[in-house]
Amino acid sequence: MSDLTLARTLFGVTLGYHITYATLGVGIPFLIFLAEIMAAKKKDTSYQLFAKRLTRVAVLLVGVGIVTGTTVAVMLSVLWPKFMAVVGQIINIPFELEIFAFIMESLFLAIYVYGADKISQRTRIFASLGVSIGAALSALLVTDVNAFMNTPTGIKWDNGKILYANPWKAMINPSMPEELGHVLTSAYMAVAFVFAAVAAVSLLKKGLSEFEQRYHRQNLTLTMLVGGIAGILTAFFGDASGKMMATYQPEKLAAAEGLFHTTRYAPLVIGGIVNVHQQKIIGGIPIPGFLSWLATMHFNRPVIGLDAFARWTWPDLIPVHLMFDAMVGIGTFCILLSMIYFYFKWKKINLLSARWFLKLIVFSGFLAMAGIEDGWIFAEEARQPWIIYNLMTVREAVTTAPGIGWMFGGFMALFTVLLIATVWSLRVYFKKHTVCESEPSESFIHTSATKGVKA
Amino acid sequence: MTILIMGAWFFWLLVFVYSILGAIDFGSSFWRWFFHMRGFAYAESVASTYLSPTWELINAFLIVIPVALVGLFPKAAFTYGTILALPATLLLILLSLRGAYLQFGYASQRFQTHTLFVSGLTGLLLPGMFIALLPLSQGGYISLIDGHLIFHVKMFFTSISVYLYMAFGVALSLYLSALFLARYAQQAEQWSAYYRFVSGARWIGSVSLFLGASALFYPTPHGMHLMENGLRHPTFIFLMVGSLLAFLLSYSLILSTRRDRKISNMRALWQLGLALAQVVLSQLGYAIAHAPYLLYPYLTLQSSSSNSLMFRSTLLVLLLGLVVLSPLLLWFRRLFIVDAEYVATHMKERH
Repeated sequence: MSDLTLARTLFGVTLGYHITYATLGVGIPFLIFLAEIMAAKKKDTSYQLFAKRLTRVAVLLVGVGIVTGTTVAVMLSVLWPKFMAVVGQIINIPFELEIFAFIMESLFLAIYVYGADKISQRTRIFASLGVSIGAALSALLVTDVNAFMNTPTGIKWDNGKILYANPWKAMINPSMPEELGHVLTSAYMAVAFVFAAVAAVSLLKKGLSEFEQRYHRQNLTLTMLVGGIAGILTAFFGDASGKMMATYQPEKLAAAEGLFHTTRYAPLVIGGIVNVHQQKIIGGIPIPGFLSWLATMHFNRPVIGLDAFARWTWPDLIPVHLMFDAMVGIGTFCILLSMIYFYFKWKKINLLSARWFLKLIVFSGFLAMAGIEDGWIFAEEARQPWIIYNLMTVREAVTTAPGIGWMFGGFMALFTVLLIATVWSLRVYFKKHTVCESEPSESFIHTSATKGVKA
Repeated sequence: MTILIMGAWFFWLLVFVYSILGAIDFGSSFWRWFFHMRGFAYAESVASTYLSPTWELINAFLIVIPVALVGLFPKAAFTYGTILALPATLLLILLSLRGAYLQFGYASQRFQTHTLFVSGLTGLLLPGMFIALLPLSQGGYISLIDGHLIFHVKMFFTSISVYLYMAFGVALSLYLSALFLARYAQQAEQWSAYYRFVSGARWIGSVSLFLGASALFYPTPHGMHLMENGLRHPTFIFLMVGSLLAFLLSYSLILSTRRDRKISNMRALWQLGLALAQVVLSQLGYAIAHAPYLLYPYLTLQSSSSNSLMFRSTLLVLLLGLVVLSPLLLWFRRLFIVDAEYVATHMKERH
């Protein structure tokens, strides 16, 4: 493997790994905040219990997420030093702000977890809101750097020399609003479905007590609601991103849809394998005019095809198209699932006694996380060969230092250890602390946290 | 004062704050492990009570440093990023293991022993690895070949100077954290734990002074001459003498501590405060002797700085960020660091 491929693979795996933790780290605090609000509003301690159990997961995942995030931050400078030299001149402000968001998140989390017995319920709600805002902001600010990589603005560039740089313009770039919206809502959606899946798995078990039944059903409704609403918003921002791409990054849209020639009434092709030689998609289901609609809001407007761009700047078309379709497909499936759930709930038909439906919800949890990974891989692959669109290629940015192979081995070993340990410690913890065992009134976050550390 | 100098001072301040916070954080996890092994439950629980809420915050602060470096001196970030590919990997792996295990410890008893061990051992090693950046920046281990800077790894790892710094980093971290935890124990009036930490500081304090002085006087091969540079500035001598005095004062307070007597609040604070003053003064002196090089002789502050708009924005954003966060930091401090009741109740639980 060449150093470039190794560096890309290493960074890709690291990001892919970090994104799982980061997404959960954004979504879980939001759910905790909602559960705290519900608990205060309904005076129902079972919501309190949900918040506490979520907090346990959050503490573990946010901790590992901090670690993987630190890795990503340092790795950026180590693997892509030339990219970071440009970043330092133009788009470093989001990174700087991100740290403060991140410190804010850590502070509020510590206050929420370790100060639980010292602060009032209102302060606790406030602290959980602080965690959730800090987490969201830090994710959004990092994503903003990615938005700059897609649609760089505020910079004049000549042969590696920066002639003009306006960091504030770079920060507020054309793809910022859509991309940020899409990332945040999709994180809320995915995490909601993950915990809907957790509730569904629990409901599939036999011999639940009445309290457990009520507890899991209640959580399922909450998460399905969050997942459904966030899903619809995700679709909205995704659609807006399509229109943004049509204007600012038409090459990416054309690659996503395998559109070779600039076309009016351009069709949206679902599935199929892109054939570069024949310049068409083989085996997909075309919906005439829909791509034009997605890109321009008019069926008859033209959409720019790949032939408008130099061949060497095309990404790898086959996977890009499939990943795009998978992302849209997963989103649609999850939204539909949530709609079905609430339709039957409204009709007062008990769908939860049907095991196949619960199994479908479990499946959706896995799908939703896969959708997040898939969406990110699509977003990065479809920009290839650029690291900063039309400014710098990935090949230009990669480090000249030797020894990437060693780094690769070291980090793979580390990630394996971390992954196994995360899963194992979550399992061990929740096996010992089941729902029926935990008295809702017991303030168990605090005691178990301190016991865990000190015993 | 030019904006460049202001930026340099600000960056120095960030590094300085992290060096103190990090030293206390890493040292505490070592002491926790150490006292766990020797069966001193009270001292162990003092360290635990301090570590649990704070380590994430300190780890978050660490990231401020590379990001500020990228924003203020991108060429330095580029150069260090290139030459440090491998050492940074090692450091990251240790840091990651430590962070992750501190979390896994919540899950079960069995994990808890691993956590104590992993965080203790990494807490011992990491300050040494971080401080190795100082001899590196003093030059001599890097040369310019065909337009590329090459890091001579073998030369670096066989250099006495590097090991002096590493040993100094470890010793200083243990010294500062022992004094900090002593003050923490004093707040909770945990006297047996207090004497454990003070006697730890007693052992390591003089070692750390000796190592620090040796590291400063021992010349880096082919690198910069810190003493020569420093002695050109009258402030350098003043700072170094002040630092030595501060050490002697705090160390004599530590030595004169009697085992079976209660310690007043003021005394515990003076011990810690003077030790911190010693570090502040000597780091200032070091900074003066090191300026204006970020990497001798290839990178100076001037040559590696960002365009002026970015430089100004970075400074502005970082300063504003710290100001905006300060009430939150103060709240945190009041809840967990200076609240005697919090410290005391958390230590009274089962050990």
